[in-house]
Amino acid sequence: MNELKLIKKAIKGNKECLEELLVLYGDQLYRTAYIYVRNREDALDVVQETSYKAFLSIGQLKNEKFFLTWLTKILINCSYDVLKKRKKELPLNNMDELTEDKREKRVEYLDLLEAISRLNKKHKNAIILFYFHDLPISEVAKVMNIPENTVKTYLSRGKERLKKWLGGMNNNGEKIIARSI
Amino acid sequence: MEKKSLREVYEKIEVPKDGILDAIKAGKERASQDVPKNKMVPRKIVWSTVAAATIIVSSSFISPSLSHVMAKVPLLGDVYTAFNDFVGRSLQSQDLITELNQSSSYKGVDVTITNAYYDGAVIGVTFSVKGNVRTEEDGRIQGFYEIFDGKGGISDSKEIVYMEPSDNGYIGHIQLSYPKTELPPETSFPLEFKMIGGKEGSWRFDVPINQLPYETVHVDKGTKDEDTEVSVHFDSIIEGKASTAIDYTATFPIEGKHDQVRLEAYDDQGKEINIFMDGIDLKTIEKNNKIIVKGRSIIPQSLKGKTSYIVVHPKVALSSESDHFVKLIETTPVAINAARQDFTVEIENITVQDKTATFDFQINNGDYMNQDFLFYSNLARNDVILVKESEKDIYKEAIKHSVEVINKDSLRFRSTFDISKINDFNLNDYVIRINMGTLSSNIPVELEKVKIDLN
Repeated sequence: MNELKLIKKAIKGNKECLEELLVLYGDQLYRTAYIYVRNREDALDVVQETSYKAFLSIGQLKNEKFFLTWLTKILINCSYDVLKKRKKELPLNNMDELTEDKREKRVEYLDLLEAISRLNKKHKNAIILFYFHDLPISEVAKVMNIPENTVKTYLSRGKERLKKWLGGMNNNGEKIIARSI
Repeated sequence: MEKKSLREVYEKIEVPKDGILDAIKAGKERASQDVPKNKMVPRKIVWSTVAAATIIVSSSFISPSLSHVMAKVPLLGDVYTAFNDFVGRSLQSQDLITELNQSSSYKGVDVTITNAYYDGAVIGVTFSVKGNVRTEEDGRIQGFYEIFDGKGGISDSKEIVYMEPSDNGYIGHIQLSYPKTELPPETSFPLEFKMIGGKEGSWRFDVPINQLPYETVHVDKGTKDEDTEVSVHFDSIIEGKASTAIDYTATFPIEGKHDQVRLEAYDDQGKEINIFMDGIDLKTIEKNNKIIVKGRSIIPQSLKGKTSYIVVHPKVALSSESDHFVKLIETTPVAINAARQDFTVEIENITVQDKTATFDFQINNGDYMNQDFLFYSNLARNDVILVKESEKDIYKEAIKHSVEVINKDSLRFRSTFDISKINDFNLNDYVIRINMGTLSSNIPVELEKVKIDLN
């Protein structure tokens, strides 16, 4: 069954089809969640929460073409919910310590991810949706509910920040990868 | 910064496959315990059962309108585009739509039938609504209608329809297939709206429709599956201006009353042709201990000049599989076979301890039959279940259990049921219920393909 058919059936209430779709996008959901929450357990929680919400609200999806956009929106919201909760649970100084600890153990290729997760919310969302989810600018705009030009601005600002943090990067990008992977 | 390099970093994030599957399942299970917040709940109780029934049958009618909330406010002329009606759109471009102007008023709500078409076996009607009506949250209004006086035997004769706001009220669209084998060239069909925008009433029309010129290709070719005694015989192809209908006669054994024919069609390049109304039952009769169904499937385009023949691949989903039960005291292994197809569930071992009842089983002798593992793991979880014998026909929430995969390749599973909460558990009171319905509805009997020349 092709994806569009699955989505159509899922919208009509076929739970098995929705489950199949979620499994199909499982890796992507997890990876994106991971970029936001930065650990396995929380990322899996986000995947669960996203699936839960998807099952409850799939009937509201109006256009099957926007399934992934819709799902991503839920995922991002869930990720922020988890982050919010975590902030409440951990006193601030504690959290700094934790991140400090982790940073030492982190493998090198995560440098870039670390940098991305430090970006401000808007820039981060734009970068993740555009670069990692491969969404066209127009759909990034839809998910974020902002005009397309603003998306472009966020992307370029976000990239600038990243380059600055990663230190002396030039535009060809090879350098980042050569060092970080 | 190149997109590709960033993607590579993303792909490198390690993925815990099993964890993800579990998380998705857990989300699904949690959701199934909650009632969706915005399920359509009609206000009036009288309507609820009818409406609930219709929501299920009517999905094919609702979906065209669902897909365009993103569309702009449609103008009357764009109505077929707005409602994604391919047949209507194509006919409009060929100037083959009949303009109509029939009105009916009730309680200050005016409904006007604006135009209609009748191409091959497909009928489309558009209408506009004016007056004081209640809108849904998304700005649309909901209506409920009946065609052919809601007669039984006509599928989809009662439907819910959504109307989109237009510059001057609302516009709506109904598409249906003519529900009889014979297609009269000139006729009218009764259409009655029984609820519009929260108001109950009666807005009745007798919509005149004239069939556009069409050609019939007589076929007389069939295909049969000896084992299941299911056959599909193609009678004719109706070539309309913007649609193509495939008429067939299917024969099932008497226990296959609810068997379902699904067709797949391919053009002379081997490319799949989309069928948008499938398995329309026009007439069902019982004769010589057989069920004979006159059926129709519709392709939303004219195939003239596009392909010289079509290859139709009929698949029949069998329906009559009833539940099987295995006693816990039975000597293992016990093999359970489906009545009409080659499905098996073999219970290899049953162990009952203090707090748990465990059974090992294998599905289809390890034959995946073109389904993926997820399909079987769902089956293992949901359809091989420990139940109390006195309640074996009641579908209650299953006893808490876990499913372990013993061997993925040979489809071997182990289910462990928690019986610690059951007071005075007795081996004789409990049975394993095996439901093979999921297998038969998802793995249809595939008949031989049939090539049909169109010229």
